[in-house]
Amino acid sequence: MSRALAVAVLTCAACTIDNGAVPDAAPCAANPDFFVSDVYPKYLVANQCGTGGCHDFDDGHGSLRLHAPEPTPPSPGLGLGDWPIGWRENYLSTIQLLRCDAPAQSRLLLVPEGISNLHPPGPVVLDRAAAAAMLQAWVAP
Amino acid sequence: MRRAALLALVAAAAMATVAVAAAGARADEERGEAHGSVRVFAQPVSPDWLLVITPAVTGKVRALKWLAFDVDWTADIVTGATPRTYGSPDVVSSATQFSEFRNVIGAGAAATVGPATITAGYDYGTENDYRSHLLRFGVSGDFFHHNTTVALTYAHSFDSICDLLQPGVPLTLRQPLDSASGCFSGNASLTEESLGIDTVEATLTQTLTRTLVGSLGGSYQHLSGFQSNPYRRVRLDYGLFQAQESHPRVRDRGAVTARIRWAVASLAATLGADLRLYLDSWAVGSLTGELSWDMPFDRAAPAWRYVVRARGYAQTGATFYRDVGYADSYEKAGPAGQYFTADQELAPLADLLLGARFVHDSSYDKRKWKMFTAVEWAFSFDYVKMFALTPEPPNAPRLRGWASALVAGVSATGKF
Repeated sequence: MSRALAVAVLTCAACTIDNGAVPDAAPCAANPDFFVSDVYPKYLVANQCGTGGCHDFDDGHGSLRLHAPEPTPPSPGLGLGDWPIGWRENYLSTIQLLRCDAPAQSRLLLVPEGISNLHPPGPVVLDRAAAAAMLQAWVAP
Repeated sequence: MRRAALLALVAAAAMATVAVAAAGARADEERGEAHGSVRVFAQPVSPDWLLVITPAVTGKVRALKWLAFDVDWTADIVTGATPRTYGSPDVVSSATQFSEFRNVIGAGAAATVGPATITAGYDYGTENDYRSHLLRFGVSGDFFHHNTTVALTYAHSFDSICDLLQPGVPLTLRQPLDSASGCFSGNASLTEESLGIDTVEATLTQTLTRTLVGSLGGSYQHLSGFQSNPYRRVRLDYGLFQAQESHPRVRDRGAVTARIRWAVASLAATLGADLRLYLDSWAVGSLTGELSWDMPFDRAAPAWRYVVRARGYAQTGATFYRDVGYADSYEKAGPAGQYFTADQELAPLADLLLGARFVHDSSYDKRKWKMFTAVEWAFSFDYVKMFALTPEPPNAPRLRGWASALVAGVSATGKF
């Protein structure tokens, strides 16, 4: 009986999937300082992305979630690991919607512009041309 | 509107079938049965609470001595809250509220040829972000004056799951679906992932002695296609990646179940014992043991009886599961190969279930409500406490409360 169970366990162990190799894709870690100086104040705040009921960290919707950041922003050149948590998490949450290979196709741009109707409030970006230029400059300064 | 019309059509067809059969039946022969139930499943712990209400209706009618038909409808009305991201509790946002409405309608036929019964059926399931077509077939045999029964079933499900269209995007850069808005409507930003599920089950039930019945069952399932939850994502590499959960596309699952029922004649009671062993190709293995006791409240008037049960369950985690509380968590060490999950059901877990069921049986010489020869009412309550076997599995708050789940149900079954 125990022999049969051992055979069954070994047989099944042989069937276990191989996890494969870890993907080698790099994150789209666009310039953090540009996020603090431009993207956060001139795009996310200007278009009211982080307001309650929208993408507020505590009661917002979707995968973009924004903290009310600390009053003092991180100094230029400061390592991301040393940033105040609110600023750091806002940066990390935002770059998930960015495409370094095709900035104009970034969900950070397309979804709030109402493309394909995936943004329940509809289009909210006030100045699309300026927003596209900003993302382009952020990814490829 | 189309869905409502379809449901109304199925309900009307079921009622008409039952009514015709009942009208044509003599009081001394049973032609079928109708069943209705409502089940309420709650995970009551804030903030990851969940409430699922499941009404179900089935009807079965024997049109000819050798031919029967069945129809069924089940719905799941789901509302609750869950974090969409699996990561350290201090950096992931709080639980997000959601609601879903799932409908499944189906129909089948069963033909009896000598000791064998052959069945076939179809079920269609729909919800905002999921579609399912299920074909089912079965054959069973009843031998040696009902002392031996064997059954073999096969089902294939063709499923479609709504997802963001992200062709060529690496796994660690894929983003989750934010909502079901636009799914199955031809939206250019969305796609339909496919999942095929083959399931085979075999059961042998044997009367062992005058008071003992045993059954042995085996099941095998092969899943091929998209098996992630499109809404869930996992933090990887200290948050630099926050990607849609990535599960393998193939999963093979097998289970063996043994059941014993022992009739205790002096008490008119039945003692049950079940044991189930499960293994799959994601390295999840589980063992389930259950004891049950079924007995009338009063042997002299056995219309009311109770069933109490206790079940213990323990499982290992998937080979690619990495707990947030461990040094090799996804957040600190990245994915486990190609895969990363936010699914609690893939974490090492254990649970204890305590349940009670109260059943009332009535049979009538003259048809009740001009239709039924027998009616059974059942009321059930289950208490489930789950235990985390790792420091911080997904939806950990659900495991920490006094009750991980509470389940209540009421059902009525009438034979006609």
